[in-house]
Amino acid sequence: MIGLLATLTFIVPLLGGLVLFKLDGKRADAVMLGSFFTAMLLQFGVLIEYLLHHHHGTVHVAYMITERLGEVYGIIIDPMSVLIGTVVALAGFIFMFYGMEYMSERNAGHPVRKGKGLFYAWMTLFEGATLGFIYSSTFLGLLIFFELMGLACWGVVSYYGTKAGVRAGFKAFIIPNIGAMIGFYTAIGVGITQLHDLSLFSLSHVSESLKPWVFIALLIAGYTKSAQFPTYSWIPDAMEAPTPASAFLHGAAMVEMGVYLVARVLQFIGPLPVWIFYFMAVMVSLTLLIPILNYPVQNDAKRLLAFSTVAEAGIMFVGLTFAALGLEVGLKAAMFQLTTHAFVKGLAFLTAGTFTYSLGTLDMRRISGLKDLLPVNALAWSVALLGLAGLPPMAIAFSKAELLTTLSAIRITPLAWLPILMLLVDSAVFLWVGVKWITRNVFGKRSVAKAHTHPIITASLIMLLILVFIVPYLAYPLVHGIGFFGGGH
Amino acid sequence: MEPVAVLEIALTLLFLGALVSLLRGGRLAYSFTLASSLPIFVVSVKGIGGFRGEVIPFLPTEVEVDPLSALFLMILAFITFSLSLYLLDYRTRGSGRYLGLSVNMALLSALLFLVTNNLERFTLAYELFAVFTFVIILTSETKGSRKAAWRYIVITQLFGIIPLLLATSLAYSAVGDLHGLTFEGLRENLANLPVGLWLMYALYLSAFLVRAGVFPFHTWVARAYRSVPSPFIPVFIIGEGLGFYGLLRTVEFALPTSRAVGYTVAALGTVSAFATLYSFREIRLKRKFAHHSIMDVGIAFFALGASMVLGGTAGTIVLIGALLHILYQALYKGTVFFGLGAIEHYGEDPTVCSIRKLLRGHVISLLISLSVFSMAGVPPLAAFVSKWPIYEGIAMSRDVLLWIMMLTIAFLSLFPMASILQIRRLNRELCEREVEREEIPLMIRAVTGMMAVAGFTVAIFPLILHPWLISAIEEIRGSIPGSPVEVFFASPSFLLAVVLLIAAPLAGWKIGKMPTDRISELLLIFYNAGDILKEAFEFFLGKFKRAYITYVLPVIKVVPRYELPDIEDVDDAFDYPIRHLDEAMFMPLIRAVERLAHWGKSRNLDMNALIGGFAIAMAVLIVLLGVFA
Repeated sequence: MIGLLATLTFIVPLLGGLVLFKLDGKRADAVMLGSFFTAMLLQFGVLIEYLLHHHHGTVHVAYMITERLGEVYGIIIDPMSVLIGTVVALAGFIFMFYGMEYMSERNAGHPVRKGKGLFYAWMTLFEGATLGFIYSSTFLGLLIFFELMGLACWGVVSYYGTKAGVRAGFKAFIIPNIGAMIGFYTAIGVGITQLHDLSLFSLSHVSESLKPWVFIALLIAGYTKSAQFPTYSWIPDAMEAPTPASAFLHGAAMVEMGVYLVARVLQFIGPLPVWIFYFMAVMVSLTLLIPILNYPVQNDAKRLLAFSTVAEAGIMFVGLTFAALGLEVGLKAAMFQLTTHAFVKGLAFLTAGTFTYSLGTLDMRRISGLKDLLPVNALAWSVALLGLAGLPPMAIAFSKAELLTTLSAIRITPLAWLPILMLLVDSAVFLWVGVKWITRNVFGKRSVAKAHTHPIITASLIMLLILVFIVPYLAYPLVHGIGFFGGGH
Repeated sequence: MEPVAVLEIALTLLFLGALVSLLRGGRLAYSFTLASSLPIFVVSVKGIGGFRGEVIPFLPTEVEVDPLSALFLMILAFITFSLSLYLLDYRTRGSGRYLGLSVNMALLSALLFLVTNNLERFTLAYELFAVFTFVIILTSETKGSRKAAWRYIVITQLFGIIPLLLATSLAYSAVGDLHGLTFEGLRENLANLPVGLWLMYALYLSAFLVRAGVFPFHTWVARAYRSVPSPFIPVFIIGEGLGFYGLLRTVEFALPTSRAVGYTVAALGTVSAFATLYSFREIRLKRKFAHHSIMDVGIAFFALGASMVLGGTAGTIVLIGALLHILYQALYKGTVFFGLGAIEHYGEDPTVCSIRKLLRGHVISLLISLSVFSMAGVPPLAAFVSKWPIYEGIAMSRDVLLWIMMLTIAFLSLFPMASILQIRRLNRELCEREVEREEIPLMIRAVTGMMAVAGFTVAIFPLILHPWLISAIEEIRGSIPGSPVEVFFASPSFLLAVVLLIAAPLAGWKIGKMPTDRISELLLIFYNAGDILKEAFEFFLGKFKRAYITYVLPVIKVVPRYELPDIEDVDDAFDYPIRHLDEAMFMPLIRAVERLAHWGKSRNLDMNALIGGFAIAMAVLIVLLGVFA
């Protein structure tokens, strides 16, 4: 039963997406929202079924097993996939509920009169591919959904057809593709030639001499997907996408799936040599340096948030860096951070989208007096920016606190200080910049006499505002259940 | 009823107050705040005997209320009661909803901070208090409040939240279990700390100095006090108390006592006391009293440091003085700011003139005077009583460093009195205009009066505090003086203490009568020292900004070299295009694909269909590979 439900969660949006290529107008609205809503309900079904009957256990369903390749397609239902699947389905639904109004002719910055069916189609495929990726238990399955995500990302980023959008779309398609070719083709190659099994479970059987290199190859795939150094710039450019898509690919899909991939690999691969930790610690610190240097000179709301995505994904990788050292709490903290970030970043993007929708600009120098113009948006913007800086009681504060418990690794190597200190510096600089913009955008004098909004927009922001505060309590039981397979490291 | 249940009621009421304020605002929210003060007081009384438990079902938080917590809870209960009662009649400027929300949540955080014994929750409560007090400043919407809020939260995060988070993470790595991550647990596992103890002291010290507004992290105090409506300033006064409590709790209950740390704390407290000199520059009363406030907290920290150095009977006597001083200063400062709130109630900025205009001859004037005389250490009022054991305990020792610091503090203590006389003199000389004073609402008068009387009473009759104070001291030091006589007359050195205490207001009286210019000339050397520090900080900040613009900006943005000297601030760099470091690496590939796209377009190929088809073909290939392998 749970296997069927999990399979349907990604099949439904994939089919919905295909249908949507031929639709437009209200019909497109209905099919898109129906697909997202159904996927969310099915995912809630998986969650409830899992909590009631399989608590903290692992359900593995092999769809296809061959003699020479072992498991070719299958799914894994465990605390990690259930948690992240729920995050994606719930966040995806809220983003596209908002998207229904955003993609209307009332949008002051980007009025849409026709052709939104194409956007919906890519977005719905995106959701299906992401959910499929989350549940896949084999490298072949992961590769297919990884590529589908890349394709959908290209579709949504270049949707407006502007020169910058088309360029950003290509970039967003190519860079993760290079990673996929390096990571997945290596893993599949090893699976075919040595293990005769493509399942994640077979990773622990990779020879000790080859294991670090397979991991590094998959890590590169993760880095490209998650916009980590040195392949970060596709994500600030990808803000050319319509805002609901930006929220999805920054907050719940795409970028997060790179982290998820590496987390999955770490779950199964077993102990790794300590130099992997050194490598990851240096890479993640370099990644965090980029947004730290860039925050102060950003005046475009979405670009500022894009650099914050690079940092927040980096922070998830800080957890994974410690997990590579054998600390299970690093794995938990990374997934916790992924969960909390999805809603805070979603709130931030959707609010930035309302700047386009209501004021027709994303230039924060031209946005002022939100408190009086759009009170809910003002609250949302303040909460989102303070939340991204890691201040409580917003969700990210709790996952960052969990992450800091990995500091015990300084017993093993003093290099453990480096990513933690970079993480803290990032939070401090973002807070400095974030509060500066809050004081201007929210509390300054009105930049315009009046600004319009819509109940759908307001309702979406309120839903996310609530989730930003309660998600740590809802997610923690599943986070607690995440760990290494087979006794781990 | 179980004390834990009472504590939960207090937390619930404050939370409800915050929610109601957000949804409806106004008086109703403060009635929840008012109602919460009673259970907080009950918890404080029960805490003298000590109790443990767990609160907040969805965020299980271990609590352990002991006499030390109980003493601070008593202050919290009293200020919560006074503040909420006062605000019922106060015409709030700024965003009433958010002010109500943040006041309730700040009080809730303070309560959690005082009752929890779990270091993780302790850190969380600290952070929450910082965030909600930041919201208070930000939503006050007064002139300068935005900048003050920005400065406050950045300083608090950099030097408060981050060090405390690091300290908690290091404590966790020593204890190895979140459940056992208590003050006691840390003390038992100090040997497992992965870092030297000095780092733990440095991290805790930084966090609590920021919270208390002690040098070198005092810079937020004057700006924040000026920006926030006066009745909300007692919330920050509670915060200063939390800083004192946090340091006392960690150095006495989690970490071993260190003389070196004691000297550091005492020295920083002494330097903070110099803030009182800056009050002479101010005619705005809130900033004036903010500087005195920094001094008062500095004196409490000086005494705490001295007690750590001295130990034994002298250390205990000084610690009693420190606790009395932190308690008394909360009361008399609270009264002063509630009094100034009466001026703000009518939309005036409290200055030496507006105090005459509105309050001359009014009972509020008398109440404020009583409190400022308490602050000045006029016998037998509050600061006189609390400084007595501090001076006496130090005089009992032969520690030269502590003597020098004590004499410095004694010298600086003459300035509050001089400052009061300055206000009176300026008031007569400059503020001729007389207007009919308006009626001040009953609650404002009543609360200010109640607080002034409370400050007066506990100073004259410190035995009222006996159960809390003695139990707290016994818990920290193990032995207690048998009676107040053994505290105030422990040795002949009390004579020196009394001489210093009487001399200070007398000297202050004389100096206060001097013209302001003359005093400023005398204090020039101190002002210059302060200005040098400030300018040095601004110089380094400027250099840092310049280095960012010169060296970092050309790396991350496409800025022509010749335009760099014209960029003076980061805001000037917004319009330059971004330079992506990784693009250089992938650019050849991207260009090749772009050329391919242009070629496709020139041949009228549908790129959507082309890429879609390519992906489908790839997917089919992969699927077939799986099926036929």
